[in-house]
Amino acid sequence: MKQNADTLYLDSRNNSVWSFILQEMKPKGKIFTPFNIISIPIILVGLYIIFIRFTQGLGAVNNLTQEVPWGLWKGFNVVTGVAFAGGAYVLAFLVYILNMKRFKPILRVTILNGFLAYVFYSIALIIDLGRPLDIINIIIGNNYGVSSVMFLVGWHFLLYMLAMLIEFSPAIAEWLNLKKAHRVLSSLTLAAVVFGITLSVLHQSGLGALFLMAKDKIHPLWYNSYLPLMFVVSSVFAGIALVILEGSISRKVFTGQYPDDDKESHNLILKSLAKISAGAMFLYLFMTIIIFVHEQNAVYLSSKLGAWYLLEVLGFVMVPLILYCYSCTKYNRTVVTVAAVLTLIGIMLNRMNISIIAFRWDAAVPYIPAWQEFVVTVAIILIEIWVFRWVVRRMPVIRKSPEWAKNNH
Amino acid sequence: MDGFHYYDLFATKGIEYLITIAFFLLLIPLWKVLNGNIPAMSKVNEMAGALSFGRLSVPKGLFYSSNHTWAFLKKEGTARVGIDDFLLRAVGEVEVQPAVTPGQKVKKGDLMAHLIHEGKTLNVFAPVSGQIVNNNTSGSIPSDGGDPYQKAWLMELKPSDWLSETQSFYLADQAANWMKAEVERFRDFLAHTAQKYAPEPAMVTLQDGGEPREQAMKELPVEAWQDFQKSFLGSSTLKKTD
Amino acid sequence: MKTVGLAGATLTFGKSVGSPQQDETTELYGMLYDSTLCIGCQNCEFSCAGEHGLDDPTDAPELGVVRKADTDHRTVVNLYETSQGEAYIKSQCMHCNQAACVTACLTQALHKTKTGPVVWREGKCMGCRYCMLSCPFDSPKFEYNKTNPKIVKCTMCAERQKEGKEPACVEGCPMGAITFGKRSDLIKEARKRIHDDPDFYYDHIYGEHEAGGTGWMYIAGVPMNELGFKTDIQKKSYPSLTKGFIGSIAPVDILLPGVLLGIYAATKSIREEGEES
Repeated sequence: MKQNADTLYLDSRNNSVWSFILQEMKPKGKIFTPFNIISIPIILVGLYIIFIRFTQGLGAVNNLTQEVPWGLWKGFNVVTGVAFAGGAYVLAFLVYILNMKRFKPILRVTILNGFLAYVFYSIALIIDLGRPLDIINIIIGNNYGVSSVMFLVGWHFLLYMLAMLIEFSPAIAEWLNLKKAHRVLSSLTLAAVVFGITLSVLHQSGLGALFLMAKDKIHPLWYNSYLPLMFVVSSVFAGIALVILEGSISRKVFTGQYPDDDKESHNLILKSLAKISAGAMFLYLFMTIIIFVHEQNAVYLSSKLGAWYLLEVLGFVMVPLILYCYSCTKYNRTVVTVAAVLTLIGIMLNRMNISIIAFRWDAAVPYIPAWQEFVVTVAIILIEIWVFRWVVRRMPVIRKSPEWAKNNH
Repeated sequence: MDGFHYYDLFATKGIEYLITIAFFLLLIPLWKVLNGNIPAMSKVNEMAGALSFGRLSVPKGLFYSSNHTWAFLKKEGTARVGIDDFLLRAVGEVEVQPAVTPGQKVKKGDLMAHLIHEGKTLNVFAPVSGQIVNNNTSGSIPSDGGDPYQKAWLMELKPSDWLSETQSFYLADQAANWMKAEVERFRDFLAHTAQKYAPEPAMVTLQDGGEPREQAMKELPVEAWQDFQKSFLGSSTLKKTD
Repeated sequence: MKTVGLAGATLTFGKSVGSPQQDETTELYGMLYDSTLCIGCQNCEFSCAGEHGLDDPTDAPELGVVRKADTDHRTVVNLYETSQGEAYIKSQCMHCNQAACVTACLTQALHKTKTGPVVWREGKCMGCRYCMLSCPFDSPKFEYNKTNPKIVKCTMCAERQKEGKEPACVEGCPMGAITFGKRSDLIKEARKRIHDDPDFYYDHIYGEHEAGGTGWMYIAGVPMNELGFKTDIQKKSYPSLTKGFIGSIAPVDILLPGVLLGIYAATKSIREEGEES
């Protein structure tokens, strides 16, 4: 990656802010990488489908029915994607509240990831709305549906994005060499972190609470009144799993930015994350067992959905748990990464089961997502990765902060 | 709920949300109070009178030593010494306790006087050697209005080695430049002090424009005064006798 | 017996003509549907379509075919083969006392009026379809194929009620199978009919307690699950399922920051003590 060291930070003696930003807009790095070649067509098709969605209505691009109103966009991008972004609040808790300095090197990139995830999943939510412009109603008070869990989730998304932007903003200030702004924004970090963790706990559980009223419509193996609690616990290890996966990918893609000597600290980070993940998954597993017994669900195990349930719990919760535990005794980076991937699949299965697969599993017309829904889902994720890459290549997210900002990072 | 009349299960929810918002707003001042945060430091935006270089008076005829004392040779041969406008505005109104009496001989670097505010002391060391002729008997130095060099002198003495001892002092334009740099250095000192002594560093910001507040030292704890003495003033070439 | 039914209906009918007052002591109004009186003429469907400017239904109730309401048809009549012979059943939005859709709606676009009808108010809805997810009866229907989609369902002709008229389907029914009136009166009427003819009716008023009580109530000759309705609907209202979560939001908002700040202060002082030693 060839880039001039002096354009890393805005040198206000030479450039104005505007010309600096314009210059930064130019692409850095190779244009024709495999990732670019695959992702650009998908993104373009996805954007076109979104255009059709707005000109011809939702029905033109998805298979939703009157009995299954939420599909892939809400079920995956919103309900599942937000769990993946849980790493931001978990790491913020570890670094700022518990003062565990060892995670500091990966904090900023995780916050960036979390922020972008929420932004793009909110975009996915808005695309899935029937009348998106009316979303302003919950802000202006037409009316404030305070009884609604969805109201809470919507507002929390908004406020949480703000909190994460504040947490991340010192990096932007460092990029633009704004010393005073940097000082002010850094002083707001603790407030943003405390606020952010509180909001996170509430809206992660809120996503689970969304389904509480659909008691008769979700298969008993997945519905229970502890859904909010289970969603919070699972968001902990879902977020950590994504942090592990994203870290291993970033290390291969952004190699130039990592200091040469940090392999030790990175392994320590992975070990600790594996430990925390294992702990959280162990709790989750036992909660699942308790709920299973309490709801007397054994009778459902012999059905097709019963087997599917066992696959999800045993194959994608218990197996990664065992792998994490194994890597704590005999550390192996590959094992940890594989466990993380399995965990992510397990979360996807669980959340999508609750929202679209086991939801009205008995409907006359079963819901199978249209190909357009898949394309848009993937396109949104790819666009998010593009933005992530843009930011990481320019701002001090992985690489070190400039000297004058040494109190942070 | 009898099933025959309308009943809102969530009637109080709106008010509860408002109370929650109020809670968050009140949490911030509570956190500051609980952490013994110095009110003056946190009321940063109500400042009037920032200690900025533009407001300092740096008369050209005085010799300034690097621990913020000045010396002026009067026509009749006695030297008047005192603290400069920067130090005066930084500490504010203080009681002066002379450490030497008229007739006593002092060497450059000897303890000359104490500046006291509410049990916190700053030591002032003699910028030049000589025999004390006079103390400023007014007892306290005002920090408002008037020419500080008329009102804020501490001693008059007959200098014994004026020329060589004032060689390294700042004069005229050079003094002005140095004073400007000192204001900057004081700002950093304050920021560092705030982090050290206010347990909630993340909540304490420096003011708009980054200028330190006048009389900022007044509200700081005694440890900060010791820091100021040792690391801010003490980083000078002047030797002190212990 | 049919005369008794008709007389009872007329009595309640007579009572209901005056428009309900909009005050705190307003009672909830509802509808009582008697399946034993229904002959499947679909006049209710035609009246509903006429009242709301919709197309008339083109199909008829048929054994083995389950017709469903949709965005163009707010109510449908179905024919079932039951243990007591063939029976018709009309279905539409149940206008629950504690409506799940109203609780779910984050803009209060779905609104339970004080007199009973649950109505959808345009201009507030953002089309999130959370109401559809929450409704145990799958009542709200969504216009997926429009660029400006609405949520469509039976409104119990709330506009007509404001003018002191009955809902269109009541007026259209030649057999008096549908009765409009105060919910308390309807239940009394239903009990009376069952009591007077215990062999004819199945002894259950569907909607009296289901989902916490609904505005539309049903009596029939057989249990409602033979007529395509779910009978395992819980007696508690559906909003009560989220009440616990909603109620814990404010406590978490208050307690969690306190806990976090406390841990922060504790770890900070532990760290400082560690640095000093």
